[in-house]
Amino acid sequence: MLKRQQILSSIVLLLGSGAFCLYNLAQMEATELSIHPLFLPTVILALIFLLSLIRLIGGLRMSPSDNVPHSISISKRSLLTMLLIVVYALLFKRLGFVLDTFVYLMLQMVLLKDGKRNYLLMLLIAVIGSAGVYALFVYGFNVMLPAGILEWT
Amino acid sequence: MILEGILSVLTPSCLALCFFGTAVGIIFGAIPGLSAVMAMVLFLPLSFGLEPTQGIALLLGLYVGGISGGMISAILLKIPGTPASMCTVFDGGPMADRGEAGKALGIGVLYSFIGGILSAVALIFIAPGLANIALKFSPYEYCSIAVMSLTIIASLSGKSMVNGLISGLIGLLVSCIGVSPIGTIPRLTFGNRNLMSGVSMVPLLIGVFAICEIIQSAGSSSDSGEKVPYKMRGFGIGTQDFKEQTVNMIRSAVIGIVIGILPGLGANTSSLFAYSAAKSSSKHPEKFGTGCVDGIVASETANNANTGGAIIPLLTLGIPGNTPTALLLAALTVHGVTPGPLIFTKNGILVYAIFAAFILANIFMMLLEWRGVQLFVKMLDVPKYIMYAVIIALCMVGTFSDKNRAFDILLVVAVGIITYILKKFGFATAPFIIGFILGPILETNLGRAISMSGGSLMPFVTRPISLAFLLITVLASAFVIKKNVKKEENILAEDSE
Repeated sequence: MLKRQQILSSIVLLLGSGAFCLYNLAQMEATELSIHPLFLPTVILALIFLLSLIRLIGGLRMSPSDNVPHSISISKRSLLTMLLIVVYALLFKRLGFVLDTFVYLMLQMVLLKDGKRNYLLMLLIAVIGSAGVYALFVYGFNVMLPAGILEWT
Repeated sequence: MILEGILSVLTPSCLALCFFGTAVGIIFGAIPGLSAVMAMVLFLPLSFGLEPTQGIALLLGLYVGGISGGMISAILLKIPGTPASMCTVFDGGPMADRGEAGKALGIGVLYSFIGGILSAVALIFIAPGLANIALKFSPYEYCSIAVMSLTIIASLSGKSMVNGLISGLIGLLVSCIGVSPIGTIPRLTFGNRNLMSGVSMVPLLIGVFAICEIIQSAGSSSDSGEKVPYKMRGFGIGTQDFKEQTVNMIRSAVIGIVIGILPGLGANTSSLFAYSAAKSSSKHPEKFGTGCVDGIVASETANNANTGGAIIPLLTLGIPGNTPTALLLAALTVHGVTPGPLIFTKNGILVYAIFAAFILANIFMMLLEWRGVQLFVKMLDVPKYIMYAVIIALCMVGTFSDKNRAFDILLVVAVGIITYILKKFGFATAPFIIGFILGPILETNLGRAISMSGGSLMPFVTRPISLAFLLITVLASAFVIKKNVKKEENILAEDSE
């Protein structure tokens, strides 16, 4: 990993755990309980703080030869997949399972398939995948799935 | 009485129900998000209308099939169908990657069966004795077990132990989200009422193993439509290899049975513990996590041995140790059977019918999965662009159906993206999961132990079982530290050369 990346990620962890730890300490009031409910999270945060410090020192001591070329950049396809999943999750209840899943399946397959795309096959999979899974879970497993805008009853 | 009990199960209707239950259980186990518990809940009302033996045979089939079925997706998709198969991913996934999916599945099926049968033997012959030993376990012992299990984090940390420890601690921290087990005070919820009940296992596992992996795979290579080859022959293990696995198999079965008996520790803990024990005692620990057969043997033997182990306290003491056995208790109670020390004298025939049905469910599980292996591996022929998209959709529906909460869908995506970023910065995900699983066990029992002792930590070292676990922890930690120091020295020596 690159020296700069290790230092930066350690600083983020250090600041995050340190701030949280202080916040918890301020929240910890005297209680009759033998262990305060915030005791364990505070100890964990303190340990993360200490380990991040060790990691930061390790990063600062890194020699240029330790700069192993290891890309932490996110590819365009990963980023778009991430975006699609986020939108799929956000619209899950609003659009309803069938419609949301249909749109997601179609777009995800188009995104992942290289070369010549068989849109008819993709359409078929998206229809069967969304409606079939809905039928299986709702009628087969008795699981209530959001119907969303397709709910007309 | 024994013969009468066995014969009551060997009727066509009972056999058919047990077979059906096992098949449905495997399907529920194999789909990420669905579980043995969900299958049992779904069929519990149906079991009330059946004869007691028939109802219990159906539920046992669902239980056994549900636990074992999780390994199918764990190996083929690197997504554990159930938390119990989490450790199977570590070695089953890499084996599938190098074209040994059939072998990995065959071994998984065989050792799932062996684990189940060994636990049935324990159930039949040593149930009362084992249950009495388990009763001696207090919060001190539970806490020491959790501390001991945490040492596995060091060995699954990947390239950097500091990163592994941070990852494990983040897992522990995530397990603290929600209302505290002692004191009932909300922690780390940021005022969000959906987080009051904490982060449950299903969204976390799906986020880490499915969302994170698929985002990563989507970027690593485009889909060329190339098929991954797979090898398939028998159970995938020869006589010599089987002999070599004997110690691992027996040790994992014992761990599975004992942890199954202990209330509150599920099949996931037993597979984790068995995996850790197999790795620590292996001559080639570095191979674990790269597609090592020993890892699958340990994980699958232990999680299936756990099923029989969990039934022991249910029948002998009337104490259900986990949700599936609580559902079995409900079914028994509805049929007018009260589990406990007197069950052998009052309902002897039914007890032996339960034993027979449990063995039968394991046989059906083996037959169904073994014959199905050829069909399961065909899943790998599905082009990646279709498979990834459908898996995400199935994971979302599985997550939603766990608690019927749309919030969990957002949670699963958040966990997936966070772990993807952590992975990018060199943090292994296995310690994160381990920390998350062990966190509640550690915290709840530490709180109870300290309350019991009035603030003193001495009982941890004055109680022999607790002391033994802590000593193993110290030894294991010293071994790992020594090994890491040696590794660092070797790297330095290589650099100076």
